[in-house]
Amino acid sequence: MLEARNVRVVFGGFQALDGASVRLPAGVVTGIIGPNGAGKSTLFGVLAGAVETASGEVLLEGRSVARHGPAWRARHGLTRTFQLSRELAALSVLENVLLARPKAPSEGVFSALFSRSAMRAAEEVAIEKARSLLARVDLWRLANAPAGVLSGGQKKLLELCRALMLDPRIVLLDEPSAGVNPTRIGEITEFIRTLQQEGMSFGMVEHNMDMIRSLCDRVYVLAEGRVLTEGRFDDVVNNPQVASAYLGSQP
Amino acid sequence: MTAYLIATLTLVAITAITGLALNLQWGMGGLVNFGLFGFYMLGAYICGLLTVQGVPPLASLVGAMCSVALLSALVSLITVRLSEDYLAIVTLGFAECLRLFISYEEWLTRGTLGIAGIERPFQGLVPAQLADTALLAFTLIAVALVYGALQALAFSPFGRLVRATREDPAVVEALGKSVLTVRFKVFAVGGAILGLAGSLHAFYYTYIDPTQFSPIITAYAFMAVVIGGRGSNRGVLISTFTLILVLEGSRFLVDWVPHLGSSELAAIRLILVGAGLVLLLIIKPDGFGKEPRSAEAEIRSFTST
Repeated sequence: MLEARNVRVVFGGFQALDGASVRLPAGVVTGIIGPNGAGKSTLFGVLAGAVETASGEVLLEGRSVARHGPAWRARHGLTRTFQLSRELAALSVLENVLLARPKAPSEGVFSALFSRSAMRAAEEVAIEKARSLLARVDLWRLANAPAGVLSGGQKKLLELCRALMLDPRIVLLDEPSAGVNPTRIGEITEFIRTLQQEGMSFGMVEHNMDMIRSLCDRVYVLAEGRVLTEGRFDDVVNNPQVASAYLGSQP
Repeated sequence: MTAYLIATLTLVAITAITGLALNLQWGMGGLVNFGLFGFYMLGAYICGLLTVQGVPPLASLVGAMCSVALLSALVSLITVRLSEDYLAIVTLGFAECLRLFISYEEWLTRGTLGIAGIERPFQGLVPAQLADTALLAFTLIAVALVYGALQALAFSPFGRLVRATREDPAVVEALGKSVLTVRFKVFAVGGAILGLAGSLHAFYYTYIDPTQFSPIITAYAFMAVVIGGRGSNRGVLISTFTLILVLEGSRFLVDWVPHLGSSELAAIRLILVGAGLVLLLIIKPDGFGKEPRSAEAEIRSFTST
């Protein structure tokens, strides 16, 4: 379980988050919606450890992790994807995924120079795992292509595979459908649902309301750095406050 | 003529080693080390000073490699939060400080007088007239070892991690790896290699003083990596040898082209090198080499699809 309590973030005088609190319970997909500039991505940055807070607490499995950076949190079961895909363009699709393999002593200088057979053995295991992940999203056939040539949707799927390679318990998805061809959004939705049914927890920032409706048990609405309301998706969207936060347009 | 060839080849080989070190740091790791010549100078001085104190040359060489690796790694800790341009400035500043230190701390380095009488490895074992040939052989072996080690790194998971930190450090952190640790290791390994190159420099000249070390050493290394293609060790090796052979070979144009004096030729050569580099960056901005992938990944996926 992941929790943020009363988090405040200030960017040079601008209050990006002003006392926001969210709880991401285990085993479900928790949605975070809100108009542009509400602080959703900042909140994810705080949860993942990439953005420093002015005050407030972040708890991972009940333990305060404020002083730990993103690398430590990733090693302890929490990872994320990015709003704009951040594939490593010069590396191959397979290398992108292999990079994320957990606990890799064979990733050092010493193994590469003096312990090559152990290094290869560890690499084989990692490749097998990467293969099964990539095959699930039909990217294995592109394993050796540079990640930069993938389409927007494929990059999103690659990022998801990369995150899964870590064996995380919680994954934060920052707009998994952004820039994705509508026909592929369904595919991503199904993939996330399968993973959730297998026991993984998700936090998801998303503008695609169909995706939120079909995946999320619970939804937080952020506006101007604060949690405006929270609850089941249908209740939340019928809340007049939410509609006005979105400038009067129906979400 | 043979002596000239041996001298040229030895210097080319030393330049190739600095190019390979830079290819690890900048080519693969994206760390702009403009202070390369400082680490090189440090290697030469540590090795030279140890040898004249009576330490066996090979032990001095190892000592120089270890100390430069350590110092280089420490510099990486100071500069790790800096992005490309600032890292370049800091490393350059560090190298200049080092040069001033060596120039003025006479009690330790004999200042501008320099250090003379540096003993070469295996000096007692080879006859005097073969001394330069033996050193060339030693240097070429060093090139081969460095190349082999760096290729092993480039194709390993470590190489993949280094290239990933160049592409996007934030992603590497989000995947649970410490970027600081990777850069620390890259600077340490690069430092060891530069310490080796500096030591070979000291062995070759048997005399060192601060004027021998200038940013031109950095410039040659960058040229080698740019032409060879960032990330490609083979490209760097080939480009260093071709570059210097073309540069040196053009000396002999004096014999073939009428009305051409050697001083004019020297100037023309420099112009041609500059023009060549500009042309290359227009036609082939990525250089000639190709960056390797972590090998197992390539092989396996071809066999099992």
